[in-house]
Amino acid sequence: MSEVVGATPARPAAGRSPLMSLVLAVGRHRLASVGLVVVALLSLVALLAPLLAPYSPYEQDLYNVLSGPSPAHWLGTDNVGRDLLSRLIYGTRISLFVGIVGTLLSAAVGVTVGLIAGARGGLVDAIIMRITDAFLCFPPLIFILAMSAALGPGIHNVILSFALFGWTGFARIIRGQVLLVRELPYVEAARSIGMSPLRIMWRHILPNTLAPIIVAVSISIGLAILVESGVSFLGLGVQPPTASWGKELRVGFTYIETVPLFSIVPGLLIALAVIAFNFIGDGLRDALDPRLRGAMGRS
Amino acid sequence: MTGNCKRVLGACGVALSIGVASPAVQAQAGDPSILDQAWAIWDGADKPVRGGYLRLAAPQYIGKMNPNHWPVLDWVSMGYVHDKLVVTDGSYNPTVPWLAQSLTQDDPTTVIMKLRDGVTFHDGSRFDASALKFQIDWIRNPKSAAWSAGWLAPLESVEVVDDLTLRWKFKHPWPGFAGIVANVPGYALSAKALREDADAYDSQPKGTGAFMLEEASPGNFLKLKRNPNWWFAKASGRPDMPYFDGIHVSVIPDPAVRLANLRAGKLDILTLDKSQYAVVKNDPNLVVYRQPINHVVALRFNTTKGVFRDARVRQAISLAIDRKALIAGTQFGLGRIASALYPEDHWAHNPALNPVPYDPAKAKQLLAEAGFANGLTIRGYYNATTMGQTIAEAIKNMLAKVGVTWQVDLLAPVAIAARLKERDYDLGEGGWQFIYDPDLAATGLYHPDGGFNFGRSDNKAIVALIEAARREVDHKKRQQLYWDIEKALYDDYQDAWLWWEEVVTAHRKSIKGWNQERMTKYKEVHFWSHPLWFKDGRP
Amino acid sequence: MGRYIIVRLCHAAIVLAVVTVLVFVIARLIPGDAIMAAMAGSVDMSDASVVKTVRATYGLDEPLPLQFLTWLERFVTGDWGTSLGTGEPVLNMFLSRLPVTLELFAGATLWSLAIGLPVGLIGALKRNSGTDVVLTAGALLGVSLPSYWEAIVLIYLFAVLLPILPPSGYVPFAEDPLLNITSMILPSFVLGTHSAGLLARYVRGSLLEVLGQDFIRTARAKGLRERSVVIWHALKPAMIPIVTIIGLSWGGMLAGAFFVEVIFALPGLGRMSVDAIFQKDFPVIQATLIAVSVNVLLVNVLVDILYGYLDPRVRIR
Repeated sequence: MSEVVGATPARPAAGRSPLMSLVLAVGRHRLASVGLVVVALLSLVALLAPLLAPYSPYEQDLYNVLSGPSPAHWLGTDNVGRDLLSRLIYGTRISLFVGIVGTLLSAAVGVTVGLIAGARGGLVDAIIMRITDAFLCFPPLIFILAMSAALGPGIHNVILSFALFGWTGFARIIRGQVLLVRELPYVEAARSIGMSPLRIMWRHILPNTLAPIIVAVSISIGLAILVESGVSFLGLGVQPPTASWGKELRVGFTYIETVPLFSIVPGLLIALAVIAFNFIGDGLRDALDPRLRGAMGRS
Repeated sequence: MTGNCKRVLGACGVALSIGVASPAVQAQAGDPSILDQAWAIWDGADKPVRGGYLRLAAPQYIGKMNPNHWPVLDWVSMGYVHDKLVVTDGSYNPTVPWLAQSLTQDDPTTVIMKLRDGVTFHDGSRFDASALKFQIDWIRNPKSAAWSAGWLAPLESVEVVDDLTLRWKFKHPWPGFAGIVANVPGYALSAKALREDADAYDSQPKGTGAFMLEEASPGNFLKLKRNPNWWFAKASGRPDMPYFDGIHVSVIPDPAVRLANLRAGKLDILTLDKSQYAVVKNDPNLVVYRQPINHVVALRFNTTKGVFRDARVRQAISLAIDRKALIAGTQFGLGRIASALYPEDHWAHNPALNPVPYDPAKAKQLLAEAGFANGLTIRGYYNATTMGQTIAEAIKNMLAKVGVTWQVDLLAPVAIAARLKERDYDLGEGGWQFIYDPDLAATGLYHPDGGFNFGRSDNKAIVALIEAARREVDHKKRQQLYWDIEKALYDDYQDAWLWWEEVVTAHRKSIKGWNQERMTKYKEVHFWSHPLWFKDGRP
Repeated sequence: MGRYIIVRLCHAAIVLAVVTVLVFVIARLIPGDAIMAAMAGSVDMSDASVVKTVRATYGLDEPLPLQFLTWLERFVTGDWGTSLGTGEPVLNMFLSRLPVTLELFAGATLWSLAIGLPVGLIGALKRNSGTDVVLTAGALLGVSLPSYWEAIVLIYLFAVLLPILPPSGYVPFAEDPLLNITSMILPSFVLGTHSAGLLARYVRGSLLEVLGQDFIRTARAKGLRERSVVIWHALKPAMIPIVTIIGLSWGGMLAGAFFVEVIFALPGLGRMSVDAIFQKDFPVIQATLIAVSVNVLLVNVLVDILYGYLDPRVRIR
C-alpha cells in the first residue's frame, strides 16, 4: 500500500464529479478494464452462487471422493465427495466478503487516525505517526497469524486481525493528503471565513482524499484476499463446512498426486482475483498521477 | 514403523501374571535364551550387509529427548536412542524381558527385578541397579517435572539388592507394573547424565539404544549414529547389529512433500497418508504394506453434562453414523469397522459384540423420545489436521441428516486439552492409540481418575469393573472382566466407536530384512529384535 | 546532516519502544495463560503448588509492568528465554536458523533482480506497446500468485512429474555445495517471483518518471537512441528507489517464508515462527517479532539516511 503514497489529489474536472472521472479513467485503461470485468464477473458469481452452482456445496458422497473431472462433476469431487466446482463458486463469496469487509474496516480505522494526525498536527501527529511506524515494522501476516491463533480460528477473527494491522497504510496516505490539501487556497479560505475544523474536514479535506483512498482500497482488497487464503491455508481461517479458496487449496494439496485440479484451480482463482484488484488499483493510480498519466497502456 | 512405535497414550498397562513374564533368561553373549525365543527366529537366507544411513521422515521434530519430559513428538526416534526394561509381545502383553532380564513376584506387593549384565549407556557409564534406582527416584521427584510420574503412584519404594538386582515395593497389589516399565518410565536413562545436568538431557540424551545422537538440528533433522556397543548385538550373537551406520530423520510437515521425497529416492521408509495408497501401490521402486494397528477411532461423549447424559441421545448419535461410508470415504477403505473399544485382535476384545448398525430412522425416533423431535444443537471439537477435518466434515453431515447440528471447532492439541479439562464440549474426537494393556484405555477414558476422563464419564458399574480388572492377577479372569467392561460400555453407549485403524507403510526396494508377516505377528518385539539393512550397504 | 541523522535515530528509538510494548502485549493476549497451556503436558496442573511454582519460574506472578521490565532487561542482555517446545535457548534457535533464511532471501533477491530488472526495463523502453501490457500483467501475476500455491505446483512439476530437483530439505553449503544450491532453487524462486513483480513495477515506474525530466530531454535532443538514453542516463538515478524496494522487500519476504519454509521443509525463521504460533511458544514468538521489527526499523533508518544524503531537500522536512 505504500506504493500509493506518492499519489497527488485529483483536481475535479469541470462538470464531472471526481468519482465519475475516476471511473472513466479506469475504463480507458486497458489492464484496469480487464480488472473491472473480472471483478464484476466474480461479484456476479458470488451473488448468483445458488443459481450457478450445479450442486449444493455441502452435499457429500463418501463413495465418490476425489473422483477427478467427469461430465457430472466438471472439476471432480473433493475429499468428502462434494462437487468441487460448486464449492469454489460458493468460496468466491467468502473471499470477496473478507477482502471487502476487511479492507473497509481497516480503511475506516486508517482514515480516522490519518485525519486526526494530519488535522491536529504537532504532538498528536508525532505520537500517532510513531505508532504507525511501529505497526509498519511488523510484517502484517505474522501478526494476523499470531492474532488468529490467539483469538481462535474463524473468518471474523481474520477480518478483525486484518483491520487491526492493515490500517497503517491508509493512515499514512490520508495524513499526507491532509497536509497537502489544507494548504490549498480554498481550504484556507474556508478557514478564514470561520468554518469549523470538523466541517472543513468533512466538506473539503475528506472529498479530496477520496481518490487515493480508492486506489489503496482496491489494492488492499487484493491483499486481504491473499491474507484470508493464506490464513485459511494454515487452518486458522474459515471453518467447515464453509468453502473458501484458500481452504480448498490447502485440502487439495494433500491429494495433489491423486487429483491435481483440486489444488491448482483454487490457486488460479485466488491469483485471478488478486490480479484483477491490482489491475484496477494500477489503473486508478495512473489516472490520478499526472506524471505517469499516459505512460501506462492507455488506448 | 508406526505399527511399532509407542506413544504415551496407549503403551503402558497392567501385565498379565508376572510369573509368566520371567523366563529363566541368562545374560551371556549369544544368549541361547534369546535365540530360542519364537520372536527371535531369523530367515537363514538373509545375509545382512553393514553400512549406510537410513533416511526417514517425521511430520514434527522430536521435541525433548528425555522421554519423561513433554513434549516428545517422535517416539520412533526415541526408541532408537533408548531401550526399555520390558517390551510387549505379539499378543499385547509386556512379557519380553529386554533390559530387565527377569521379573519375579516375591509377594503381592514386591517384585524382584534382575538386570542384564554388560549394558552400557552412550556416555560409557554402566547400566546397573543403582543407575536404575536413581532414574526412578528422579522421575518420582516433583522437581523433575516428569509428566510420567503419575504412573508410578502405586510404587512405595525401589531398593538396590545387589549390583544387578532391585526390589520394587508397591503400596498395594499392582499387576500393571510390567506394563508400566514397558512404557515411558521404563526407558533406561544414564544416571550419570541425569545427575550431572538433568535439563541438558532434554537435548543430549544418553540411552543404551541401538543408535546414539550424532547431531540434532531442532525443527530440521535428527541424525543418529550406530552404537557399536549395543548390548543386544552381543546377546543375540549378531555382533554387526545394527546394520545401518546411522539414521537421518528429516522433519517434513506435509504428507504430499514426504511422498515426493520417497519417490525421488530421498527417503527409504515412510508411513503414508491413506489417500496415497492407491497412488503408490503399483510403484515399481517401492514395497507397500497395509497393516492393522492397535488404535481405535471413536467419538467421545460428555456423559456427565448436557444432552449426552441421556443414553438414548448417545445411542441416536451412534446409530446416525454410517461407519462403512466413513471408512470408504475418509480412510480409503483402510480400516476395520469397530464394534467397541479394543481392536478385534486384542485379547481384551469381546468377540460377541457387533458394530452399531447405521439406522437414521431409529436415531430420529430415539431423539424424538428424548424430547428432541425438532432437532438438537451440540458443540464439540476435532483435531485440525487435514484428516481430522475430513472426518469431522463427514460426521457433521451425517448428524445433520437426523436433525443434529454439530458445531465442531477444529483445534490444535493444546486447545483440545483445554476443552477436555473444562468439559467444554458435547461430542468430540475420541479413541485411544496404541492399546497394549487394556487398563490404560479403560481407566484413562472411563474411570474418574483416568488421565483423559476429566469427569466426563462416571458409570458406577463400569468403574467397579475397571477397578476389579486392575487388581485381578489371573489372566483368564482378567480377560473375562475386560469382556464385561467392553459389553457394559457398549450397552450404555458410553462412546461411539468408529473403526480400528490400519496403516500404510512403504519402503524402497533397497531396504532388506522387512518381514511383514512376522512383524504383524510379533509386533513391538519383532521391531526391536529384527534389523533392516541396505541391499548394497548404502541407500 | 549530523542533526538529521540524530533526529532519525531518535524517531527510531521511540518506534522501537512502542514495538517492544506492542510485542509484549500481544504475547500476553494469547488466552488461557500461554505458559499454563504449554506446560499442561509436563506438570500436574491440578496441584496448586505446582502451578504456583511454574508461574514463579516464568515470572507470571509479578505485576505486568514489572514483568515487562524484567523481560526487556533479559532480552537486551541476550537472555531470550527458553523455548517451550524444544527446551533450547531461544537465542541459539534464532541464530541457528538465521543462515537458512538469509540464504533463502539472498537467492530470492537474485531471482527477483534477474527477473524484475529486465522486465521493468523492457516495459519502460517499449511503454504502451503490447509487450509492455503483457509484461506489466506478468509482473502483477508475480505479485498476486499465492506463494504456497506456486510452491506446490513447482514441487509437483520439478520433483514429481519431472524429477530433476530435490522436493524439499536443506543441506548446509559446507556439507554439499551442489545439493545446497539445487535444493534452494525452487524455494528461492517462489519467494523471488513475488518481489520480482514488485521490482519490475518500480523499475518501470521510476524509469518513466526519470525519462520525463529535463536532462533526459537534453540527451534525447542530442540524438541518442532511446535505448542508450534509458541505459546510460535514466537507469542510474532510477536506481535509488529500486535499492529501497529491494531492502524493504526483505520484510515482505518473511511472510512468504512462512509458507515456503513450511512446504519445502526448510529449517529457517519462517518455519520456526509458524511452529511457535501453533504451539503457543511465546518466548519464541516474542523474540521473532522483535528481531524482525528491529530489522525492518534498521532498514527504514538506513533508507532515510541514504535519502537524506542523496536528496538534500529531504533533510529540511
